[in-house]
Amino acid sequence: MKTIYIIKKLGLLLYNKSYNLFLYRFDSINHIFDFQKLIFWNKFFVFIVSIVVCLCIISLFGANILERLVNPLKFSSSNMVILEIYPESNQEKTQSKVKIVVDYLSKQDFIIAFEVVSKDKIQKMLNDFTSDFKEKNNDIDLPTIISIKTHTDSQEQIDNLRLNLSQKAKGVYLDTEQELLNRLANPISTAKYLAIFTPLIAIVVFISILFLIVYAILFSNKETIETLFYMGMDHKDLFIEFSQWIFVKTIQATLLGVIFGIVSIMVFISILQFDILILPLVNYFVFVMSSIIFLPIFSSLLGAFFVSRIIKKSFKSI
Amino acid sequence: MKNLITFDNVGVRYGSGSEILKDIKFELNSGEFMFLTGHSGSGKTTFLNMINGSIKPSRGYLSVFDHDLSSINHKDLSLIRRKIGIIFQDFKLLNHLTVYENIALPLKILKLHAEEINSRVIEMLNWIELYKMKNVYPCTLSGGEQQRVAIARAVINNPDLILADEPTGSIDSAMANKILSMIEHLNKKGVAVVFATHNMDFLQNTTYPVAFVQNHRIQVYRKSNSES
Repeated sequence: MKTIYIIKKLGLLLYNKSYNLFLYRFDSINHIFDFQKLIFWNKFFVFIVSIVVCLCIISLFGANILERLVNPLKFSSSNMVILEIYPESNQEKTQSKVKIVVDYLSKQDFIIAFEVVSKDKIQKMLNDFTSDFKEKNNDIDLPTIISIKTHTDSQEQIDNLRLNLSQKAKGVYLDTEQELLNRLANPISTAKYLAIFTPLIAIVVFISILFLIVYAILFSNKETIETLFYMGMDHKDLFIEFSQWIFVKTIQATLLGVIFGIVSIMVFISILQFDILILPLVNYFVFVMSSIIFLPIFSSLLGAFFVSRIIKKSFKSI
Repeated sequence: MKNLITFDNVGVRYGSGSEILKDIKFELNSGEFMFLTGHSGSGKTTFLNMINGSIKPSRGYLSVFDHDLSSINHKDLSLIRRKIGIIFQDFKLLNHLTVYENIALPLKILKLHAEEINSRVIEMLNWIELYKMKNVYPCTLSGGEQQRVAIARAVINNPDLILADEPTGSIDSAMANKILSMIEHLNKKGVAVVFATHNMDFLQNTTYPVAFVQNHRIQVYRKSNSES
């Protein structure tokens, strides 16, 4: 009982001290201006900023995931060709088709080596993307994949090989790394543009919303502000009051946006059944932490700037 | 006695129009009480707004607390305003704040400690006899009560000068007398007062000097009936 009493006393002392030192300032913000009269703008600001942060996180996620898919291809050894042989209606037909292809490949001079990729290896590769692929798709006939290493990456020889193979057997496809990259080029560039433009658009939206909010609050509190100036409030005091309010609101909004973003990504991962380990988590951590730290500072400084401009232009009497 | 306000050949106009007030020569010393009167639209409020720095003179020299208001910066102006208590006819109480919070505002601007604010606000609430109403919002009070709150707010930071812009204009005569006696009480403590009014009872029975605003000029009459 005595311990609880001491803890209570200490808690109360700590609260009183911190109230006098710090919280009192925030208390004054909430009381001097009628921010609550602008309850719609208040919520609108938090909502829009959180959506903006959320969209930035999602676009960063999209760009990173594609970048991560492409990187292994970019840095793999050159002169590699992938041959895919799709399964026939029965296993014997498939095996004879594979044999024809293998015989043909072994006779080509420009091919240094080739290897039929085992089914286990294919399943293991797919498991990197879908953790329960093997359990769910054990009965599916997988295509036979042959990796080929050549002396040259001459497009002409590759085209000849493709043509000859298609004449010898149906359902045989040849993929070079370049073709694979070309196929991914559009989604990658789209994702990159999104990753660049989403934050840019987000910044423009954010600045516009901030200006709108500051303008709305100043004009709906015009009489209050004029009265406060008659009592000796300084311009600096007004900037500080607004900066602090915007700072607190932006922290709330950013945290909310981060939570929205993480939840959206988790939902996305669970729908596509991605292995969570392929996510570049460090990038998100850096982005989220910098958002939480810099966005409120940036917004409060920008808010104070808007206040000073609006006050100078529209509140000439003070 | 220290000179608080000096108008020397001051003129003021809005935009490119003719002068609303011209050739004003006026002085007010510390501890002095002066009535200000004139018909509606004569420029009484403009005169008071010039003293509190809201309107800058178009010409002439205007000094308040030894600061030339023609060339004052925002920071110094805010410091001057902290020495002036302003009482408005329409009270200008903030309706989203309680009576207590309204009275505490000037002290919050001065960033005083919460405990000091509390003790001074309670002292004021007792003086205006509205302690029991401390947690109600101004819109629920009568005109007289609102004006008493406005007076408490104007004087809580111990100003050297009170500018009262028709503070009794929208309240009954009994309450008006009470308001006047409250302001006189402050004046006796050494606070200078400029009291703008239309109330003829105040003006006829007063021994204080009266400044008349007429024909865009200000003339001051003192108790010996001499014009200055």
